[in-house]
Order: sequence, then C-alpha cells, then structure tokens
Amino acid sequence: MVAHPDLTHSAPLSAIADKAARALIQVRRGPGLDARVTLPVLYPSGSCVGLRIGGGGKGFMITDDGGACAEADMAGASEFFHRAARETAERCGVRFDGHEMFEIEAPSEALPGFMAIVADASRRAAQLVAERQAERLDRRFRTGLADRLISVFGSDRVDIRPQVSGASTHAWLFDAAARLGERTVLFAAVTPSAVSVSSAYLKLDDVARLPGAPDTVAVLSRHSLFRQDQRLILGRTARIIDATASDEAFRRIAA
Amino acid sequence: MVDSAAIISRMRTALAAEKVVVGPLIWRAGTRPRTFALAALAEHPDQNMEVHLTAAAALPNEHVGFQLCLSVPGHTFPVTRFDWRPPRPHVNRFGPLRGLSSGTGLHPFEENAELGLAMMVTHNLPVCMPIDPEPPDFSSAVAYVCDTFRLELREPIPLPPWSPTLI
Repeated sequence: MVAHPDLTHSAPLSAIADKAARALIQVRRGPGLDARVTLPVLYPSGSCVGLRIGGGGKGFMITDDGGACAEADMAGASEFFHRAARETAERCGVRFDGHEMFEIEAPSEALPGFMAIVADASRRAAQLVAERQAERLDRRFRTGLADRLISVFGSDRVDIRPQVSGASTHAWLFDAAARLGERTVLFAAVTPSAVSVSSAYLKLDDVARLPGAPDTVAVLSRHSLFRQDQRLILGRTARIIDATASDEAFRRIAA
Repeated sequence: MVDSAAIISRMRTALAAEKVVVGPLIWRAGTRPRTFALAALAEHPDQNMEVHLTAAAALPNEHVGFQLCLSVPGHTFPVTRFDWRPPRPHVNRFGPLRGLSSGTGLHPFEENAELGLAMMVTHNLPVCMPIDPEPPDFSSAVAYVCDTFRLELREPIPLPPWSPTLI
C-alpha cells in the first residue's frame, strides 16, 4: 500500500480525527434527571440512535426511548414493528415492552457495553421492519411488472407468470413473457436481497443454457441498493433494466 | 399494484399545488406512550393529501415532525417531511448529499424521489437537508412548513399539549 503524502503528518490528523470522533456522540440532560445520549449508530432512515439513561445507584436503566418504534411509525410500517422488535429483543437479550427496547440494572462499570447492546438492538429492529416493509412493496411490484409489460407490449403479446423449463428440465416460474414475432423475452423481477438475486440467477442461467434460448431480462426493483457484484452476476445471464425505466427503455431492451 | 412512476408523478403534482388544510385541527394522544399526533386533510382537487404532525409530551419546543403524505387505497406514502429540532441528528446514507448531517432539516421531495419510491417508503425519506437558521419557535416552524409544503390553513395549528412534568 502506498502512503498518501497528505497522511504522513500523524499529529494534525489525529487531532482532526479526535475532534470528529467527539462530535459523533452528544449528551444532553433531561427529561427530568435522565440523560439523553446520541450515538453514531444509524437507523435505516439515517436518524441516529438515541438512548435515555436513568436510574443510578444499584444500576442504570437504558432505553431507546421508543426510537425504533418511532422510525416504524413514521415510515407507515407500524404493523411490522411489534413482532420485529420482539424477535430482535430476544436475539439481543434486551427487554421490550411493546414500545421501548431497554435494559435495567446495568452496572456502572458495564454501562458503555449495555448502551452499545441496546443501541444495536434498536437499530436491528428498525432494519428488520424496513426489510419486511420492502418485501411487501416487492410483492406488489411483482404484480405491477406484468401490468407494466402489458401496457408496453399489449395484452395479446404478454403471458403472465409463465412456467419455462430450463436445460436441467426444471420448470421455472417467470414474472412475465413477451412474445415479439418469433422471439420470446422472459422477464424476472429481482430485488436486492441475496435470496432474490441468487434464485433469479439460477433460473435465468438454466434457461439461457437451452438450445435456441429465449432472451432474458432482469428487472431490478430498488436498483440503487444493488451491489456491483450482484449486477455483475445477473448481467451474465440476462439484460438488466431498472423497474422505473421508461416504456421506450423496456421496448429497446426487449428488441 | 404499485406503479412507482405514476405515484411519484402524482406526488410531484400535488406538492406543487396550493392545498387547503381543513379542520378541526386538534392534537390527540399518539399511538405510542407520551406522544401526540395531529392529522388533517390537505385538500387537493385530484389527490388525497394528508398532513401529519407528531410531538413528544416531555419535550416542549423540540422534536416536532411535519409530514406531507399521499394517500391511495391501501397505502399512505410520505412525500416530504420537516423535522423541527429533532432529538437526534440525521445522517444521509444515500444520494448526492451522502454523509451530510442535519438537526432541524427538510426531507425534500425531489432528492428523495430520485432514489425511487421503494427507498422513499422503506427508508422513510432518507435524504435530509439542514435548515439553518432553524425556525425559532413553533409558530415559525408552522409558517415554514406552510410555505414549503404549499399549505393554506383555515384555522391556526394549536401548540402541542406539552407537559414535561408528566415524566
């Protein structure tokens, strides 16, 4: 590794890093005698996780103050919160009262560690809620893809959820097929989850190995969340298009 | 079915239009402990728009959220949001302003729409821009929101019923 010339003066950089690190954590007093601590742990929205610390003496109470719950409410995903938070609380070994994720009787010598555990649990719960809400949207998106293709190519040329056997003879379910003259173009909706990418790759690859294979298109939902390696993998077996692309872009990629 | 492009287009049209907030404007207990919420229709001739305000009982003169939403059958989509003196800073994880932190801030429609509808919804309008100087009091925050969201109030929005002594 080549050292960057700007990084050779360790003293000024350490001071800059120290200042930046201190800015990452904020402590405020209240409500009442409690303290509020903001940590550099991010919910899916980008809001920092905040903890309220109370008690003392025998032990401290640490709560996310309903932060994960508020994130779910604000995103319109309240229906997913209770189960996600309960599961996460069990996995992380923290308590959950239906609103807050918290720990009680944290000893003073272990307070930083307990704060990290509660903050991590709160973030994980919010992440799980976001994932479940995304899955719901993706299910609706799959239905929407077929309708979209019908509007682009016409209902007489689009088959909804056709089964196509690959070279392995396994029958795969695609989201839609467009019949364009002598050719057939198969469309598979793909989301950024690892399961979706790998299962899409399997069926696209198996079909691509057929003699006289149909053309294949992977339609990416939430395209900005796909990693480059995921795009690379899918690109080996199909053309790739963003689900929000224009009708003209869909016509071009199927041409 | 979710037709993302059509919904984003409807959001853009509705945000740009003048909307009238109809009453009664009353703060009610929120669905969670120690919170309050106020929801009202923001009347638009073609779209069902709603404005949602949230506040925390124990935190007077801070932590008020103002969110404009588009309502369609089975779904309510966030369009834009203003966080006035939130208890925790926000950091942009995505978009051209990645890494930017804000306290009081606007989650602007266009910058979030650039990320796509699914990101807007599941990541709860992840792009935020700091508003500095921030509105100094609640009524100034309401005035800023009315101007930014293009809302006309038929009656004033009352102060949230803050009661820090409950804690």
